[in-house]
Amino acid sequence: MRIGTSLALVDLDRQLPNRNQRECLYWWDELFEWIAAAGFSYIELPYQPKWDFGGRSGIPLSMRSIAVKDGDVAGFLTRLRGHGLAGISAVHLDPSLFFSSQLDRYFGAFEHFAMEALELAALSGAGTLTLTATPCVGDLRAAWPDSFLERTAALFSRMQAAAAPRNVRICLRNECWGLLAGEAAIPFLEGLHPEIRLDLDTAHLQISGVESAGFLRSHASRIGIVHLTDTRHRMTPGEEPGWIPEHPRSAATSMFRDVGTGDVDLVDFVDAMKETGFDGDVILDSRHAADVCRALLRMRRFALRHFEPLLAKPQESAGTAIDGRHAADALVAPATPSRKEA
Amino acid sequence: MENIRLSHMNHWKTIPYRTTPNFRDYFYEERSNLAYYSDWDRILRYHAATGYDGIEVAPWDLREMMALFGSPQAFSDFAAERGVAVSGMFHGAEGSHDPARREEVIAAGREAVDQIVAFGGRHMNMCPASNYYGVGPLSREAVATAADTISEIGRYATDHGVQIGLHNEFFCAINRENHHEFIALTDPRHVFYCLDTAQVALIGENILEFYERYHERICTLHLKDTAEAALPDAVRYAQDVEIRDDGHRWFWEPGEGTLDLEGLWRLMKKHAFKGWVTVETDGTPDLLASMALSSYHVKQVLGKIYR
Repeated sequence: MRIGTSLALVDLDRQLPNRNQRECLYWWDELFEWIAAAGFSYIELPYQPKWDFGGRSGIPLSMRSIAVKDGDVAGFLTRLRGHGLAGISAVHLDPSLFFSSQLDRYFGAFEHFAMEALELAALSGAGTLTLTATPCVGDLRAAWPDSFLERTAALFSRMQAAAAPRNVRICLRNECWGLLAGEAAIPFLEGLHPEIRLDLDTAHLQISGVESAGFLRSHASRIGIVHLTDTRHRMTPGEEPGWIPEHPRSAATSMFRDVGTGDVDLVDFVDAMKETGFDGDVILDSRHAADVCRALLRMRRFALRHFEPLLAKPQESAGTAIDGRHAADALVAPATPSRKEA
Repeated sequence: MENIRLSHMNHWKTIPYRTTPNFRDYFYEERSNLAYYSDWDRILRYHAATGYDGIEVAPWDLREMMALFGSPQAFSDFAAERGVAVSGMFHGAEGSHDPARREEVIAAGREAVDQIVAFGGRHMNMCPASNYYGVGPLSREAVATAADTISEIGRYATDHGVQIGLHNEFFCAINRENHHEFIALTDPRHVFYCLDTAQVALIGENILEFYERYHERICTLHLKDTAEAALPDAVRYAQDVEIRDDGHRWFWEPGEGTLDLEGLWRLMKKHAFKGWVTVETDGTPDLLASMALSSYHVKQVLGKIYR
């Protein structure tokens, strides 16, 4: 079992003060230091190729970004280790970005970028590639062919065939706003290759009306990886998710809360993990945290109570000095001093 | 009636709500400023409060905006109720230099024109080509292809009451060595220029000389400042150079850099510029503060020269 935290912690979609920092390599170097200082050795990487299209390679969430800034995955891992992290335990791709009424284009893009994400998972030694199974249900109403889930299943099968020889497990994520929310994922999963497992996300289950500890006790053999996430939200009956599903239409709210600040019974869930002998990877995930450092410390507090032997001791890292890897930076003066110099 | 109407280029990214009727409850979820940046009602009120008559829409936000509002007209009506008009939309003509992509680029350009018309906007401020890295240097044939393709889009635009404003960027494949040649090859009846003051200065142009030379074609501005000018080729042609690894900023609010914006305003007065000027504050750590600072400089400092 490896304890990690997800880079989904970082909200890149909202223009809140100081968001501009998050497009710069230096900020991610600092984040990696903070994550290590919070006691986490591993990260989950949300695979987000959309940043490729604006040349935002400072955001290390795609193979292109890694190639531009670090040369290759090995270079990226070296960089992570230089900041006190051991590596990447999981990669997650959500294909909702590609969704439109042109389903051939959706499935084509889904598989193309899933293969990129698989490449990253395989080369980095991440044991798991999680794929979000379906976009938001609200999106699908406009383009709802009966074949949608059949095509999704076929794609998962192809990904499984590609992943298995590379020692990567394919997991399915069933968000609360998708077609396979809650218990609906199980019959779909049973129709897939037996090595494909579920990525159990505690908050998504609870929002779907399913108690996550009980779900784990019932389906432990089908769970490949666990996301400990938190929420205070419940879907109201008949509520239709909006296009930005984590911001429900019913009222302005943030669907996800920092781990330990919602009302998911994560203590019972951890007990369920022990009872069932679950020993897969665990990701503590404070998605789109309002305050990244606060969220990391909250997750550390939770992890200290439940996973202390598995937490890393904060290590001396190589520091955050920019080493001039970006050729253009070196040619313009004055340079911004590194944190060590400042 | 003032000669200059102030617009702001939208860099607000994802705004998840139209309005927030439960504003106080939403605030108490985090007790933070998150609630202040979460709905278009407030964002547009900030525009009006800080002196902007207009907003320039960003194409990368369209999907989410349309999901919230249903149509460009609905957004424009919503904005108008708050005293803000849609001045136009940005567009990138990726691949314009490539004959094999001509039809694709023209189709995308026409679609963007249609969207601007639906918003009730006037300007399509267009980066004229792909980024330099991986594409440049462009041959003269490629420059001519790009000019021809843009002119074709321009004809469609003017037929529909929209003006293309070439919006060059310091990392674009149309760059210092072919900038003027490219402009000369475009059709002046249908292709105009959106002078981004910082971008053009970073390319190596003197913005006063540039304005004097092209004032008849400059239909609008993206107004921003910079503390550098005439970046060397190795910088302009580098990969993903728009965002620096160390957080160094290329762009600043008007008045916070070293450009002679007062000289530019004197020229705008000389040539009786009339129309939209869009403040663009990309790279800022605080969009609302930058909006306010910029508006103050335009109205209270530059406005003493020409308004």
